[in-house]
Amino acid sequence: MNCKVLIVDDSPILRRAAKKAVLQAGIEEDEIFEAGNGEEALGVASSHPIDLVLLDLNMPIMSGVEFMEKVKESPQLNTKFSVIVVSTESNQQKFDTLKELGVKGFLRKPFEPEELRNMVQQTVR
Amino acid sequence: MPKITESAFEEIVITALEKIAFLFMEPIPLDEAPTSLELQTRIQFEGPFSKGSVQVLADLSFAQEMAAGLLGVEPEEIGREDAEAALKELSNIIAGELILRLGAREDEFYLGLPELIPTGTTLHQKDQEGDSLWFHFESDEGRLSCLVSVQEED
Repeated sequence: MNCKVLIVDDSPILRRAAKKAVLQAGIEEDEIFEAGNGEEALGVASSHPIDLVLLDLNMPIMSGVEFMEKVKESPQLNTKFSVIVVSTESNQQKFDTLKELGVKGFLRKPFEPEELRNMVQQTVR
Repeated sequence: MPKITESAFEEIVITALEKIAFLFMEPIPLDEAPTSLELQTRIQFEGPFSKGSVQVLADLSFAQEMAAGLLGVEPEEIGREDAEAALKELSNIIAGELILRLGAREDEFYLGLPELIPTGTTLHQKDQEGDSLWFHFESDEGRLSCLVSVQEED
């Protein structure tokens, strides 16, 4: 499947677990990118043609919400890729804000690997 | 303000471990609980009507099993760093679910970042200490304890 996926999470072990699910969704290993916070993610998304971002919210340096605000402000990045939030977040107001900022889907932690795999497949289809 | 029952908290821990690492935990009584555990993480939260923390404690071998389940590899392949990262993520997930039950869907809560705290803590052998409650669990892979503290704000 020709799709570039960026996994953004401050937990390295969660990034590896998410990467495994993304590989199972049919994405090639060399098309999967990682970032440990929103700031790093902006750098990766600016320099690679990313199609899908899997975004944690609660991260140091730059949160997932701040990342989405920067993306929305950027003519280069806005509408360039789809975003699925993968987080422990449960606040409805924050979900509404993120939808307004362009987030396409939400997956709450804890999730089973199949849930993430299915969501990636549905989004990139 | 919504309150959380002891059985609801036990369900949070059991469901989290089953989902992320395929570990099947059972609550155990205080007299069967471990007296010390090697690794300890803590995460703090604060909402409009309550604040508190969740501490999660486990032996390194159990945390390695958890990391192995999360990554789909053998526990022997897991080093201390990954085991600690898995325990931190578990505390993040437990606290996220706890604040949901305390009202985070409607009210905005601050949830901190999980942190490792110095090892070698001796578990206090009481079910309750002030605003804090101990919970103990076991599975074939080992034992896990949680200390949950929730203080209501005026």
